[in-house]
Amino acid sequence: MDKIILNSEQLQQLRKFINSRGFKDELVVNEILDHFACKVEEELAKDPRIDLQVAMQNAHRSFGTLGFYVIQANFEKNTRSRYRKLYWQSMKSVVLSVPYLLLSIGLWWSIYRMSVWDATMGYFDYFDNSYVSDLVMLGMFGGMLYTLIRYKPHHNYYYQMARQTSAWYVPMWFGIIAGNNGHTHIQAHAIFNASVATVSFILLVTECRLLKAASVDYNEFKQLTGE
Amino acid sequence: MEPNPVVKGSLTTIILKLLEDNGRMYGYEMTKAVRESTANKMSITEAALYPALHKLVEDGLLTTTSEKVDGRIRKYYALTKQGKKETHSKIQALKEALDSVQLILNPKLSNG
Repeated sequence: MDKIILNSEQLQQLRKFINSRGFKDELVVNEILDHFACKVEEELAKDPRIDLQVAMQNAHRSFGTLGFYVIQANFEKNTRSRYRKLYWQSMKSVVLSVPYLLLSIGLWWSIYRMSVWDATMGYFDYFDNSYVSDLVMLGMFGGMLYTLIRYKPHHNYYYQMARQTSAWYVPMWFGIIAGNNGHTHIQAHAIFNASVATVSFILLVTECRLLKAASVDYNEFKQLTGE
Repeated sequence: MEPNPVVKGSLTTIILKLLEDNGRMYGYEMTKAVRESTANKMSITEAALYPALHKLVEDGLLTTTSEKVDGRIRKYYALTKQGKKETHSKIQALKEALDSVQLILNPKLSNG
């Protein structure tokens, strides 16, 4: 049985076949492509009389009832767990780095002092929140905008996984801080405001690092494909 | 070909053994190696292979590298240091289990 190697035009047809089965993301398509191509080559080597279409259908059938989904699902799981690990590693390195530690302590102290002053002076907004709470929320919103501008949204798995892994805190903290006002417990509210701002800052830096890793991964993939 | 329950139960060990013998392999190569070395009596399906590979990568027993081969990107799997250690213990455990099954299937006759 002679070994057959598919040429670039045939590989393009395989890509179209994979697309036609509902797998559009280029990273997923490439993940499926090699295994599928090996099977198609085996089919063509077994019976050289069949054409590429028949070989593709036979090869696809041999993947079983779930088809290419098995490869996609595992690629997704692998990527997700890689980014989850990276997330915790990044957070640890941010928390343990001296400049970020000093910045975090500085931020915490400034927000705390401002909150106490704000509440003592009785500066509350229309919704009965202190202006410092508004400032913290504005900062979080700004941080979110910054990540969107700095790391533009891409329709690839790496970017989506990195975003899903790291951006969980934004809606949660928005909700918590919006439902909290500082009329009665000035000190407690000031500590709360300062802590939310500091934790959000650390999470924002971690998110930026993860999005950067996703962008490096994607560039490496592009280099590998020669695009 | 029906998936063999024995293969399914010992898939992790089979993958580790294949990688110990061959250094590094890609997914399709593993399925082919199992088919060829058992004269088509056993096969690994993609539905079983990829979750097992994912688990081994997750557990830190395997590492992956990607390379461009024949115009497409190929993902190779290889054993990590921890994976090499684990391979020996898993093979030993499988051998002991198979020996025990043998004892049940072919009991020795004893006097009395």
